[in-house]
Amino acid sequence: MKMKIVNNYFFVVMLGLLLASCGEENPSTPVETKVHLKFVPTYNGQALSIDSVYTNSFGQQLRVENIQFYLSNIYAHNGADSTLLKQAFLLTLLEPQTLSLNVSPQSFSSLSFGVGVPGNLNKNVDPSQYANSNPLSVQGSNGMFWYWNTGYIFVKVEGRYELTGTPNAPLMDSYSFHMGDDPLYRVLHFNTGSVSLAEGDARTFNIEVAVDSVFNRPADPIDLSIDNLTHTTSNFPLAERMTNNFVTAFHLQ
Amino acid sequence: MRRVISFFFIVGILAGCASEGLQDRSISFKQPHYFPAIIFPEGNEPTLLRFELGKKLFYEKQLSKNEDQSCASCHRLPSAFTDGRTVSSFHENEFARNAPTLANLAWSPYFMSEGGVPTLELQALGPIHEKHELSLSMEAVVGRLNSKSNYAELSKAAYGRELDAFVITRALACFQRALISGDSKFDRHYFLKANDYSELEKQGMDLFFSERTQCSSCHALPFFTDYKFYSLGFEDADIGLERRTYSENDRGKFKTPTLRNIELTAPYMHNGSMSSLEEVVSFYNTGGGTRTTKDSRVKPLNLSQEEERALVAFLKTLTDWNFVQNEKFLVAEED
Repeated sequence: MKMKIVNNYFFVVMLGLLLASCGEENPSTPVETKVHLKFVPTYNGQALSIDSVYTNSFGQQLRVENIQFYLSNIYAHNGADSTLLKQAFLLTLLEPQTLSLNVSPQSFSSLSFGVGVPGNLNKNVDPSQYANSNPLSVQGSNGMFWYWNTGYIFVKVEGRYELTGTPNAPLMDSYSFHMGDDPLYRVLHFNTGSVSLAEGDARTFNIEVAVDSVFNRPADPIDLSIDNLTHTTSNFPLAERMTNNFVTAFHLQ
Repeated sequence: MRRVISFFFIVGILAGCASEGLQDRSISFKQPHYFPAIIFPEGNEPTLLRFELGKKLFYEKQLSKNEDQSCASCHRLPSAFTDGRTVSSFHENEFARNAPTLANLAWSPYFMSEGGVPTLELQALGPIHEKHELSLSMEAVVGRLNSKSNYAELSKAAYGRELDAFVITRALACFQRALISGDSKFDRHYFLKANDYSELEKQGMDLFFSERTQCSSCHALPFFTDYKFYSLGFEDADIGLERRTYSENDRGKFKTPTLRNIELTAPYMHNGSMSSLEEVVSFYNTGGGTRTTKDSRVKPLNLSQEEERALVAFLKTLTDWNFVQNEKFLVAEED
């Protein structure tokens, strides 16, 4: 009887040592290398607030109530080599949002991404083929898909405005800019300097989205008394202007 | 009585299968030999349960925000899957349009009046989401249907997966591909050589296929459409194809509609502005509208009143009564 107890004790101790040993040499979770892209919406250099009323260069008052856009084909570039980090994200950007990307250890000197959805994923694509978790799926697209003329809405900017500029005047009218279609896909490049990521490293890149540029870009300010609505097909020239303004809002800090 | 027998036949199949789990089987759609073979999309070949699920969804009012409308609200079988309204009741916007027939969609190369939707499967997403139509998110649709009678079971048996956007769009497309119409008096006369036309109908057919009217150059056999886009010169607010192409040259252009069952699909034109076939033929005879993009073939035809009557008589021979009375396209009242 005594020998049996000793044997059992010995077996348990040896098993424990074996498991502890395995734990040290074969970690159950892989060491991740992370790239965080933190998008920070601002207006005139201050944090964007949906409660704030802003004045544009025409003296018109506006409030920003919704900003949604697709980011796609996020690449890291190292000379002639490019690594795809993520295919697509859908962002709602009324407050800072961070996209966390699991990447392999690598070096790069610039990042790029598309604003919108590239042509091969946009037209003649059936969103019902994607799992609900995919931002390009029927559910995941969250209203960012046109069903009468298939394709994704790349960018939505919506809110309210009033034209007199009178302090405390109610903002009774709404503006709505929905931009999409292949000609409005834009790719942005950002120099990051030399970045080298080893196993376990994490690096955060802060990208300001200066929403005031959408309305007040000096080269093409938006007069809301004239230009307050486009669903792209209803006013393609305005959609193109708004797209060009929107992409100038992104600044790597 | 026939409807009752049909109902029990279908229920009998489902009830019989239910005891051992639903069993599916391939089916084929009966089609005229003078129609080309249907090319089914991979993964959505027709089966009995796919057809039944699609039909059930087509008549399902849970697909609408207020649970009071279904696809069939605007696409009714007796009217060849149109609704008899100028524009469908929800459509109070600048792109309000007359509901199109759903006959012979299996051969359509694209969908919507601007041709902006490439597949019948994708088309199904439009009316469900469109705020002027059923106006419900797919997430809400799936949630509602999963709590209802045998949708989940039908979905798994028909497509091998949970009910979701993929299944709903595939099943609706499967049902709609079955809506084949090619058994009219015209078909029997022209393709089957029945030779049972009246003199007036023959005169109308000759005019229809003549160089003088060129009706058949756009309303081409066998579907009485070439699926291309033309302007008849309407000067209304609907810019048509331009909405998709951004080209002013496409202003007011719409996809050629089929003329099959045209007698049953009044009112006519994209905006439902003409209430009778007589009015439509007269419109063409006087040269159509005035928009600059108007197709060059739409010009004064100098038809006599008798010739106009002949054309109308011919158009009425395109009605397929077996199609619009086919009880397989209806659901049992209990559903």
